[in-house]
Amino acid sequence: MIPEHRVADLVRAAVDAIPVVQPPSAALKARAVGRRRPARTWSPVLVAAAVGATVLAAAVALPGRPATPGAGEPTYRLPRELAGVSSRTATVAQDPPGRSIALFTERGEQVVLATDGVTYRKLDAGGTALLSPDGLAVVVSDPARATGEADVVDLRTGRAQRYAAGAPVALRPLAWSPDGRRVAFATQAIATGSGPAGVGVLDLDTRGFAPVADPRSGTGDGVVRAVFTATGTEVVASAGAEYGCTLRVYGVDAPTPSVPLAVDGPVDGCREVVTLGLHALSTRPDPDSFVIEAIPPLLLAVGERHGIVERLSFRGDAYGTGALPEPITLGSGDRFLGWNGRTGVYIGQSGGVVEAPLDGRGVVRMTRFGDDPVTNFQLATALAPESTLADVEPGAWPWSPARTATIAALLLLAAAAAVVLRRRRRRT
Amino acid sequence: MAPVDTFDAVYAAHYAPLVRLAYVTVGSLPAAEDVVQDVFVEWYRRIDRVDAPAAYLRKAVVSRCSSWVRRRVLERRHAGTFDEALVAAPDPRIVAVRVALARLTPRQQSAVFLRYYLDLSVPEVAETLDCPLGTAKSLLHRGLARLQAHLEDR
Repeated sequence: MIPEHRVADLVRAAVDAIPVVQPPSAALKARAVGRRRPARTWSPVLVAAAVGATVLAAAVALPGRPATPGAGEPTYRLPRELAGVSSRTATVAQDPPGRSIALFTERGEQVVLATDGVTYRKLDAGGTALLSPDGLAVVVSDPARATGEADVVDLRTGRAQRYAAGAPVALRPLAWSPDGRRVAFATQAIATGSGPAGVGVLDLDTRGFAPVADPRSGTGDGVVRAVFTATGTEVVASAGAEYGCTLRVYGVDAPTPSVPLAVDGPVDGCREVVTLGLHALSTRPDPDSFVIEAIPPLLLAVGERHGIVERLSFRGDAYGTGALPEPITLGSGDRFLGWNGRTGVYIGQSGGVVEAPLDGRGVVRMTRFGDDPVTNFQLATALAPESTLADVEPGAWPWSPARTATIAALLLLAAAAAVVLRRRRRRT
Repeated sequence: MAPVDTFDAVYAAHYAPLVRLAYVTVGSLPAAEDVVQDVFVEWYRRIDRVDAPAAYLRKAVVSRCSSWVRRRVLERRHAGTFDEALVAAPDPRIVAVRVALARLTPRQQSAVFLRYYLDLSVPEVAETLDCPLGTAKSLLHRGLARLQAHLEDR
């Protein structure tokens, strides 16, 4: 065998025989200070950018789900079956859903459903949430902590704005004004969630917070509820387990002593009267005669104990027939969700949402909940009457096309950057 | 020493060995010259940031040659290996060594060149090839064995 040193000699001799002509160093220096070749270095980035732009354009141009779910939809869709959320479901801040038709709690997560009927997003903030009538915002506050703060989340941008009540009180959102510019809260100095509570109204335009009702003594057993009149200038509220069939009307712009609103008639034997919702046509009560007939039509709910509502009773001649709708009996856990135009109401049940006509023809099932329990279901009350039921597939992909395209583009750019860096490292 | 002087000195001392190193790997003298000149150009642009120019240049040449070989592997499969004009040297022993070198893998060629032509230590070969020490030893062992086997057949 040829020894190693002999092989080395042969290699050296063979390589030395390779003719090498050395160019002057000045030529290389001139190349070094000359223009570089950017096209070669940046070609992966340019390719990735082109691919990203193509993906984005395709996401916008392709038919199907809109780039911004729920925004600018001519129709509002409620799914016949509510899809469940998953761990992959994006949050509102990550991927804003746009205008939304519903809000509910599932698996401990508060979820909004966009008006396309298929886009679900989890709320980022914890607390008690209330969806605005137009489906564009959610107010969130923590009634268990006397922070005096509430967040309003814009569902089109995913951004939250914080509002302060100016006092260390616990806030629980009760109602949005019909125009979505004011929110009524139950206020408690000591957060208990029930018992005596005042009512305050937050003006989103001026950021002012006006206490319109002080906690009433002797009302420690019930839950305060409230609703705006159609003009948004008055709040009709129950003061929580106030004995006798009494509601009170509070002015918002110029807080004045409450005006008791007697309730009698069909609501016989009530221990507690709470206002759940005024019909959209309801206007300010007759200032000279605060009788219930002056507010056509007014929905009343009768709570037998601790705010548990067992039936809906109606006042006011909404249809000009002189006959009041018959009360609607509610089951355990049933909740009033809103009016369906002038003909009926939406009721949330344990298994789904039903529509109950006021003429007593029986309920019509609308959206059915999935296997996981759904609680605190809410509808965007201004959109619900315009909505249509649709058989929609929830879709296997939890992100919007815009978000998917954005992430795909970012991944491509990252991959291109990695390629560039790797090439540079190899060159060095 | 000023950067320009450093460049001139290193260029004068290392250009030819680096071209030969590149040639052993890529098998084409014009390609080898292009690779080495590109490396010197890149080095000149960052000359203040390179502490050990010789090691830097060797490593850069090996890296670029590897990329070049990957791109041209199909061409090399069909076009043979070394330039015929260069292989056809007057000394038959040199021809035999070049043919033997051409039968090694590109990594083995680089390892053999660094070890037996530039007299680098095995750890320096490993560093230049950007591989573990064991891998460098394996490349050298296999490369040497194939060279010995081929040269003994002649």
